[in-house]
Amino acid sequence: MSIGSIHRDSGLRRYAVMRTIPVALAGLLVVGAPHLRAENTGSSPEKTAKQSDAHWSKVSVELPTSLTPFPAGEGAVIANAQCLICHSAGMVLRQPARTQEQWKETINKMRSAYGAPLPAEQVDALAAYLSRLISDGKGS
Amino acid sequence: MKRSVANPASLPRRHFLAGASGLGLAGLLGASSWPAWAGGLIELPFANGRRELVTNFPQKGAMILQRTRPPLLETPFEVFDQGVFTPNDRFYVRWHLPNIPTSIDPANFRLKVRGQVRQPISLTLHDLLHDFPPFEIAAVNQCSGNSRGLFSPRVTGGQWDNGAMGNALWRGVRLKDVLDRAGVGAGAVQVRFKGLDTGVLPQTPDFMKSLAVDHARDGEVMIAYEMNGEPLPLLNGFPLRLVVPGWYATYWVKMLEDIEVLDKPDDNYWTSKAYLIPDTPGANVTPEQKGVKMVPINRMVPRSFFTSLTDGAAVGRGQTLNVRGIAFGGDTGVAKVLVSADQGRRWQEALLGANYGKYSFRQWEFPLRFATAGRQRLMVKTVNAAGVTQPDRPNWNGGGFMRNVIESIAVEVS
Repeated sequence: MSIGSIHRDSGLRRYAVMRTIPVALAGLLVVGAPHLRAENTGSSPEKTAKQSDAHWSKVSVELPTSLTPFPAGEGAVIANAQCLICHSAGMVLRQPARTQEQWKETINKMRSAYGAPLPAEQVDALAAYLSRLISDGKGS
Repeated sequence: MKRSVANPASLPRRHFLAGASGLGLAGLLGASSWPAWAGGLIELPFANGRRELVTNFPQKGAMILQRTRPPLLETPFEVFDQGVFTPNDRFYVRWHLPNIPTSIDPANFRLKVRGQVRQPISLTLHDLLHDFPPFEIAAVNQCSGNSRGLFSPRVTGGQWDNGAMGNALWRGVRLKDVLDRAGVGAGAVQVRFKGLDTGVLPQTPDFMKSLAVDHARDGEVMIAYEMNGEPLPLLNGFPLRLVVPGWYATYWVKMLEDIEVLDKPDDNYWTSKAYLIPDTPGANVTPEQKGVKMVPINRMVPRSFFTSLTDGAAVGRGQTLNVRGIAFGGDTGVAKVLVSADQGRRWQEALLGANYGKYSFRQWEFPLRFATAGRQRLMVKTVNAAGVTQPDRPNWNGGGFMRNVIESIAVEVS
């Protein structure tokens, strides 16, 4: 099983869902009728199993990537080097306003629970940066 | 609450500014009046609540972008007015770990059952389709932190509005039947589930969740290979997903590939340290409260919503409106839905729609006539089959879990 397109550097890539043509047609026959299916649970298992079998073709997709870096500022270099290893910046930028102490707690959880390789001596600087970055009334 | 700068008062708060549906303001003003955001912007009703509406995730229509990697995508609330089942291409998405396989060939896929079993087994999708009786159930899948953005004081985590939930008809096999094929050992205590997603760093714990053996074998917990009559979208767990009816979605492991029967309680991070709630009624504490016993999140609690009207909607005086919404009972069915138009003094019973089973959304409808002009507040709550209803005041906990306060919206009668 391949694992791909995690560290892409270009944004908004088109995705492709690759299926054979007959399967795509079979898919169309049942799509859009979930309500009917709900009341139709008595259908013969063999028939439904065959229909289900037709769905089982390979699925390949591409996931979009985020190009958004952390905004410039003291501490941005740390944020870009550390936070982006595991998640895009948007998750951080969409948080509510928090104090430096609250951010320290979160950063330390990232270090202890998830193994972020952030040196202890950078925690304060990163927490200060994040608390400045998102303050009340900003970013909304 | 906050309104978008570009949002005239006549538009409800969750109105799309430039939705892909073409209903948005962009359609009125012309696309050139707007910056080139992929699908427009939406303003969620809390501070720092501006979100992009995106259409660039595979097998997904317009979704509210909460995080690109790993993906967190919220269902725009208008979708819940369209029917009792949430379409697959609008069903919310929530991943913990960033390395998500993007290509899955069912011919090579195997589901393993191992641990405290008589005989470890490895099943193909063909085995699941042909060697086990099919099982179907309609059930709500709701993120533990659905509505977290509405917590006050705010808490960190995915800043969802109310759209981190969906209802689907799940089809697959009973987990019990699969476990019985392997033969659960006498000393079994819990069953642990793991998907194909992994972290980038070797230190990041694999995402795994566990259920008690008796729960796993209750005949309702299932392994789904279809939702709403189609294979699952990859981002909802293709090809297999655990379905735990009545329980929060953290247990509904996606891309399920490994089932391990344990002879002692699971101590892995995601089961024993994450997703803990205070062991208090409604998982409710004050922000100052310390030393409260914490337990793993578990059964869902009842909720109900307006779907045909949004907060701030304009309605005509003297007009009778069939106000509509959805409800679910949490870990059991909806007994009734009650609507109040007088600040909760008097509650009147709504008409319930078709019953798709006790774990499903249930639609409700209530005719309301607005006699006097001005601002009027509407409230809705449900009572489930166990007699449990929704609280008057919002709960609070540090995880932002299990919000189910009575919903209320304002309408402008003129």
